Amino acid sequence: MNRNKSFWRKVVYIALMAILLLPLSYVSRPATSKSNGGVLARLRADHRLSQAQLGDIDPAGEAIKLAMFGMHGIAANVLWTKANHYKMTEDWTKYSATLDQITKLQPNFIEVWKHQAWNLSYNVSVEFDNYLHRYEWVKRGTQFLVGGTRYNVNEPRLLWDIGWFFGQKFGRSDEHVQFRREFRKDTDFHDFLTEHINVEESYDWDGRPDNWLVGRQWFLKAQHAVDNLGSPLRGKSPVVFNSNPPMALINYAAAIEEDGYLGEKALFAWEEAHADWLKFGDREILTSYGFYIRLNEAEELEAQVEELDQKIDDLSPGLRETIKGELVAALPPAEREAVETPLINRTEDQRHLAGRADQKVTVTDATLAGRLEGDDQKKARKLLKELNEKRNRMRIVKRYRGIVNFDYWRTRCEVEQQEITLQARRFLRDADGHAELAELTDARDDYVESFALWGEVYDRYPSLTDSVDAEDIVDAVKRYAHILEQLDESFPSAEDFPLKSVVEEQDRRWRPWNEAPTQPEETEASNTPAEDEPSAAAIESDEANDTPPEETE
Amino acid sequence: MVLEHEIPGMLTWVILNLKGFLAILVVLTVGGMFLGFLRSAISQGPGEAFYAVARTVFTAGYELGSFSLRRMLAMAWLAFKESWRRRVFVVLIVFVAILMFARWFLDAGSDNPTRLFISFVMTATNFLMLTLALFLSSFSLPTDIKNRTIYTIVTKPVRAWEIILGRIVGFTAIGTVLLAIMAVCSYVFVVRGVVHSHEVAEELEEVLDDDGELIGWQGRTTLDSGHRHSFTLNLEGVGQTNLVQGHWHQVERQEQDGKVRVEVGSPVGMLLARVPRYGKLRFLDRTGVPGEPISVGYEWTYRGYYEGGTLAGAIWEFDGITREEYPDGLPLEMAIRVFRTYKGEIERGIMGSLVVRNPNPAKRVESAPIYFEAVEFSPQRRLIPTTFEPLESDGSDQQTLDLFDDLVDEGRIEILVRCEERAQYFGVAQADMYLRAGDNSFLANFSKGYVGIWLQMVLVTCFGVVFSSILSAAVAMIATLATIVLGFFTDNILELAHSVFSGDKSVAGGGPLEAAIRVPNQMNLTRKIENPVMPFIEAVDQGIMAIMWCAAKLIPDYSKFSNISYVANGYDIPFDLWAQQCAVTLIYLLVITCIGYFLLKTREIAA
Repeated sequence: MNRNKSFWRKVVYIALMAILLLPLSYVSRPATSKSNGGVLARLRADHRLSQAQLGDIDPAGEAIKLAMFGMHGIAANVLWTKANHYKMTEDWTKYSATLDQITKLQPNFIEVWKHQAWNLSYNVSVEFDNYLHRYEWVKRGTQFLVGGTRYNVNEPRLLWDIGWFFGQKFGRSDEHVQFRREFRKDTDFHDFLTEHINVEESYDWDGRPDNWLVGRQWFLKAQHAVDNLGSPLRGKSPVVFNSNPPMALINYAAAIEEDGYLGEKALFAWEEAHADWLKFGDREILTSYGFYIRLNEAEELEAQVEELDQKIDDLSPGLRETIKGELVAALPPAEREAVETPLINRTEDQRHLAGRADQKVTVTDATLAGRLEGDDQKKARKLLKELNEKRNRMRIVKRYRGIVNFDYWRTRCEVEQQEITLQARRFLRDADGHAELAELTDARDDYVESFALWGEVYDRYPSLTDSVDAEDIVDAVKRYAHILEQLDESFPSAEDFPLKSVVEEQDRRWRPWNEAPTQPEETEASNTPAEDEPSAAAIESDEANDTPPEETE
Repeated sequence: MVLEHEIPGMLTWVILNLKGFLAILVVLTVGGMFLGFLRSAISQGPGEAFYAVARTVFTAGYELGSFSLRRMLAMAWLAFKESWRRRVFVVLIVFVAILMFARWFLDAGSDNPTRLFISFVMTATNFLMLTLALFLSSFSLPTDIKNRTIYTIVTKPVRAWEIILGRIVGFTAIGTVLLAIMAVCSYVFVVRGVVHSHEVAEELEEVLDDDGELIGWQGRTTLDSGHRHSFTLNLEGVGQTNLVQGHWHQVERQEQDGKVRVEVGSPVGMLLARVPRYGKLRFLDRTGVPGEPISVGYEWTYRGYYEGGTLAGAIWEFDGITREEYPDGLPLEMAIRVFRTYKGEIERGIMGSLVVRNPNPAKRVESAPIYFEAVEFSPQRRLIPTTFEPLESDGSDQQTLDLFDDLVDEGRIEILVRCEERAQYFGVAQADMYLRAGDNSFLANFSKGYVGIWLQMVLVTCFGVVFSSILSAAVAMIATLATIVLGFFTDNILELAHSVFSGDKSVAGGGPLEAAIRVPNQMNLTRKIENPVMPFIEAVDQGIMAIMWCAAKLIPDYSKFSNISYVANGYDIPFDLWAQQCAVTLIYLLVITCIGYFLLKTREIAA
């Protein structure tokens, strides 16, 4: 009896197992060349999670994961601890080897590649005193990251990081002169990169690749992955992400000027950069509000806003002034008197009162529309709705422009394409060269020529006076002042010095010409926000500061 | 090479550790007898227990007296054959398979592939041999007892000593054979992996001086084994490559019948066994008086830093300096770390100086400074000549100084190293400068490295055999594994135990019970646990850590038997270290064999 029971129990178990195989097969049947597989396989394919879709399948990595018997998470933790220990004890050989092992266990964990590549290129490299060793480790970190793209094909974060390393680490670090030079000579590294990008497209005029242009190629790859291959852009702002390719061209143009190539090559580079920057401006950028904008549409929107404003005014000409008059009349007497007093004649108290009153007497379009009647009011409200949408959109476009400093770089590209700018830079370069050789009079003369040309540039483009580039010009002015001291000559007067406004903008304290320092309180007080009359306040501050130099001398 | 703990001479080591060893011996002997007495007292009463213990001790002495080497070797041969029958050579197949696929995991383009390859093969061998020893030794006796084949042995006139020692020797012998084969395979793997050759990649470029005269040639080699070199040749066509991956090559240009042939020699500096002679290091502060080095903010305080452009410096004192031993001068090697507070000239290293001086304060004679550019991470070689110019401020009339007559005092000499650039720092440790007395054979050093693995294997075998004499196979295996884990993490356990006892939280996270609360609650290591039960938990943790501390102190520190870093970094394993390792192994072998004898006797009595 027992044996029978046992036998039938086994039959039941086997039957249950066979029945369970059916749902199991439905859920976890692997995909083959002839079928899409079960539910899990299809889900993996839809979300692009399968190993083959993510990237290469590495036999070494798969072997080591199998050998861990499912404990590769624990092994990875142990390896991370060991890696930190090797980093602390400066055992770079074992550190590097341990990182390779970690990536074999977790090839699709993006942060492993990013974090450790950063560690190698930025943290480990600086431990070496010899710049050639530092270059090797920066290169090693970059190669590590490139290795990660094999297992994570079309991952924008890795592709972007590679572009960043080529740009910022090779091109902006303290050793950028040396790194750029070594990179150009490093044909083995170029051969390595050829497997991933078309290095020839990054060639400079001498047939060698430039780090910024190589970085741009990686940025473009990242862009392509997002735009055309459907890879999600995680953890990056779209406007910053898409600004990198043209910024790489801008940085390239600036870099070759720094290298001393101030001629046609520089002009051409800036021209290309300008074209690419404008193209970026025409790109549809997804905002955090859920809609797309183009950075170049700000001017168009401004014109439309003006037009709509005008249309609202045209519905009842003169009404705005009438309403304003009513509002002014309704002000308390002190405020009314302040508003009615001309700017120049206002006392300090009156300026405060006028500032407060200005907000009360501003006639908004909504107020205007409210005063209209019948059809006019309906039209006004419709125009107002459109106007508000345009204004809102314009505000967002301007904010996004501010994020990438769109206006500055557009202006800068325009300015740098001009011969006057190149000439100014040439004189400056020559002046610095003479100064280094202690040829003081030649240096002085070249500085004078350079500053005269720069003065013209900044007069034409005053928005550049508060830029980083202007800081460098002010540093040059300081070097010029030092040379004049050595020649026992005095600095030109404020009126004769063409870069006075630039120096004043960049350095609030330093005044090399003989003049009393500006009074910061007056300047700040006169900059009270007054939407309708900013220029008047500025005029007032200028007039207050305009002490004639002859008097102080 | 990093040497965090100085290796004392053998005599010093014996004196330092004798007390500790004797203490352990006394504890084990008295403790063992007491435990035996307690056990017998429970079943037979204290009087009988005393006689039982005395009888056991007497029997042990008698059986030791009648120990037969022939019988022990017979047992050893039995153990050897039994292991062979169990197909232990599978370990060799696993090892060869690992070597075959090792290239997937090893980067030949690493900055030091020699270190990587040697570390890999020795670590793999270490792991496999200890695993083999663990399984072989733990399962043998329990299997015999379970299968009752032990009776065929104990019924013969074989003493318990001979059974225990015979098994240990037998398993050690089979392990030795396998280890020797693995060592040979490893050596071949390393040599084949790192030894390489280059050709010249392109036409040589002429090097001209300012007048346009030819002064030599330069070129670069082909890309092989993940690297290439650049080289310069003098007018005679002889030169060498730069240092890449820790080695260089000799290059020679020959012109014959109008044809130019350039030969790149085999790598130099790859498979080495330097014999360093270390000195004693002390520091001077910025005023030039003895002081402590500065920390520049690194977590690892192995190196001390001192400021440049001041009187601060590092002084190494060497002894045993004689003209006979160093007829050509002192072959100094140093690897100094640099810390820059500002970048300065990026393409030039930081300048330093070294001064050779007489350590006797009564004869303050020193050489003029010898200037150098600091090189990091690879030993910079300098030959200190036998004659010098004196220091100008010395005031002496001597035109030259003789190294041995003027600067050596009773075999001692001092070398002072300073950094010459203000606001830059040099970082040094004692082992960063040494006299390179010569080189030993790499093959001999490689073999010595494997002796360290062998000694570890012997220890694991001892523990395995002894545990298996009283415990079942699985439990014996776990107990032996525990000794291995404790042995490799001794320092961590002692540090944790100290932290738990003292309550200073130098190791965050607390003891085992506290960790068991933190981990499932995902609490970080430093957060205070607000729970009224915590004092009780801390008390229990202290009890547990006390046991762990005792165990860590009793069990050998396996990491001290590892000579991988010496072999991998190209330094000869010092004889003193080797002798200490062998002495520790011998002592443990004797003690563990005694324990094993008594445990087996207990089992016999029980049976």
